Amino acid sequence: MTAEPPPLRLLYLAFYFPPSRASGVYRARATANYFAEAGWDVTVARVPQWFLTDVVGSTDDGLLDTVDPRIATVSPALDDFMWETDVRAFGSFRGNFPFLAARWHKWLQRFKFPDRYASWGESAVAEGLRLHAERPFDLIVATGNPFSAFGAAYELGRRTGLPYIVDYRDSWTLDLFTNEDAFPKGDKAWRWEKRILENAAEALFVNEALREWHAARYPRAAERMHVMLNGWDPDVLPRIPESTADESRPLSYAYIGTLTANQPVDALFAGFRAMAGAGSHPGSTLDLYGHLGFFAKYESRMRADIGLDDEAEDRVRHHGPVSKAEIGDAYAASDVLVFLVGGSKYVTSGKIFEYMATGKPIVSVHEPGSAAEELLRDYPLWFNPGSLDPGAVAAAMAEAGDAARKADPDLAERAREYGAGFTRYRAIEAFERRARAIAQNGGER
Amino acid sequence: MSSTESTDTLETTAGLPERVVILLFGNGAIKRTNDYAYQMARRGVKVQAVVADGQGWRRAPALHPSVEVYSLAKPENRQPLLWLYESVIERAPAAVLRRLDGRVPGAGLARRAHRKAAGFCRRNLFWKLYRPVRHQALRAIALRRIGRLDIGAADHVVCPDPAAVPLAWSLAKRHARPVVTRALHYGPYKDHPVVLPLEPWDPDTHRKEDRPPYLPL
Repeated sequence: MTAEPPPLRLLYLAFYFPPSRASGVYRARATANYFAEAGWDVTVARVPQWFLTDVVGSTDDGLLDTVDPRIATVSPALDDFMWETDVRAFGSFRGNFPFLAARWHKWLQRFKFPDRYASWGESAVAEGLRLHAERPFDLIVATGNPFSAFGAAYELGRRTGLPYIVDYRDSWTLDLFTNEDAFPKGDKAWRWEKRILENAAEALFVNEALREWHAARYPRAAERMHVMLNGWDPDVLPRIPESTADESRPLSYAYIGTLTANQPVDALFAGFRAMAGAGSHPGSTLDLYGHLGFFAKYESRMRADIGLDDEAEDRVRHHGPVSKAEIGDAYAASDVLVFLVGGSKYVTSGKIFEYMATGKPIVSVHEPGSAAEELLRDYPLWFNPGSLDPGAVAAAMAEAGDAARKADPDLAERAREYGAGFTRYRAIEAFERRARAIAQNGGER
Repeated sequence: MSSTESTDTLETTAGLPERVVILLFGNGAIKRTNDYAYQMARRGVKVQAVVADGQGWRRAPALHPSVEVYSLAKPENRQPLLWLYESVIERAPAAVLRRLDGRVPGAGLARRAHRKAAGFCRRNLFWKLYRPVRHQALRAIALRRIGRLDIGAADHVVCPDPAAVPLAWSLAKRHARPVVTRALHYGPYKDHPVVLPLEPWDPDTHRKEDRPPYLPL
């Protein structure tokens, strides 16, 4: 009788991991859970708790309960110089000479990885080496942003000989909102990205447009670049009851997700007002569910910027953050979903998969040519204004409202079936198989 | 807090500080300070500010009228070297040339040339030398005068401006009670009831004259 081989060991460098509520945390959670369920021994390196509570200002403890209990978690240290606000905690050098202390701190960073979270990456390397010495890993997977995780994966790979995979949840050197380079020519970030990608066993991107952009920049690594789509999480999103948008109650147009300054909120509000002004779907409301901004301290500024404090705006309602347990209720209370996303052809937004899974009419409010259009094209209840012009947005919203009123069950079922194909696990399946092969071959390419 | 002060402040919900002192030596954080002060003041918190508006504040927006502002302008401008520089390079030549203007040919031209030269010196000489030491000089000035604000009885001391850190750090060493922080973050108090019907303050439409005058410290 032969003994069962020990499980493959994965070190997963995910700065944002539950209980973080950052937008990319669901991809990290699903990846770790999937690998654990597939028999891997997973260790996650995440940000220290103080950063989530004191700097980000919010956590989602419910999400923590959905992490597979077999997953071990470590929190490498993060230098708090930039985020320390308690003056009593300052040393006498920083307290007496704040500008000199800031310069000194900057000087100390000069050779480090070009990222504000570089100290976390450095600690992750030290922690990874310690854990590897105790019991060797077989593979390292890093997800960014922050891209210090990539730097740490590269360094660990260099020092241990382990293969590593980088997962671009976001882009690093490409500005997704202007489609231009995010760093000037000659910046350290370019050298680091080249080094990391050319030595990685694989690189993952959230859509084909991003993969193509990177493949063109780094042709030596192009054949190892793959797309791993985002997806929706069945454990977060229960089956949404079919629409009951009868004539007796006004329609609810809803946006569910974090609102940020990069999204075309003005175009959405103007379109909604234009639709209401034209007399379409009287009494309808625009319901916003979710956080305002990623950092709690910016919420008040954002409320004022987007006019939520304006008392005359009683048809735009902000319901605040929605917990995991309540998200199904938010979708159930919505008749039309508004897909609001900043940027253009390189942006997909993970939210779209959840939207499609509900089978409800979806109105796009984003620049034309967004990567999400590829996915939405075959969704039967997609209403695309084609531009951010308020008139076009209003017309698309009105049409989507008509579809919600009509509530064709066959159409809704077809929409739901289409959306059901995009679960998170389905997107990860192929990646896990490749990762297993890489780990078993020791990273030979 | 003294009994007189507590009658000035409305009773607030438990957990909310009753008096906040904000330290501002530069004018870069005024907009954020105004947002914060407005949100705190409408929840019944007394907000005081110590400002060093003697130098480099000409174009600074005014602080929210709910903030009781104490100015360090006079003692800052009375510092001997600073006073000497302003007198010799700026005020005295400007006064002489103003009197000569219209009486002596070329005085107008000289006056304009002096204004340009004085501006150049202020940017390239005065600030180059004064900026690195200003926060230390202001700390000493403020520490001699800040006793009247009874910092030991305040609940929060906030210094959003990095130049005010040395003063805040010294205050933290001297007074154990107040929370001394760099964060202008009213988020933890946003659920507290609003007790005062205050208006937000738009510095683009309101000026310094539209609010109570700054008090000398």
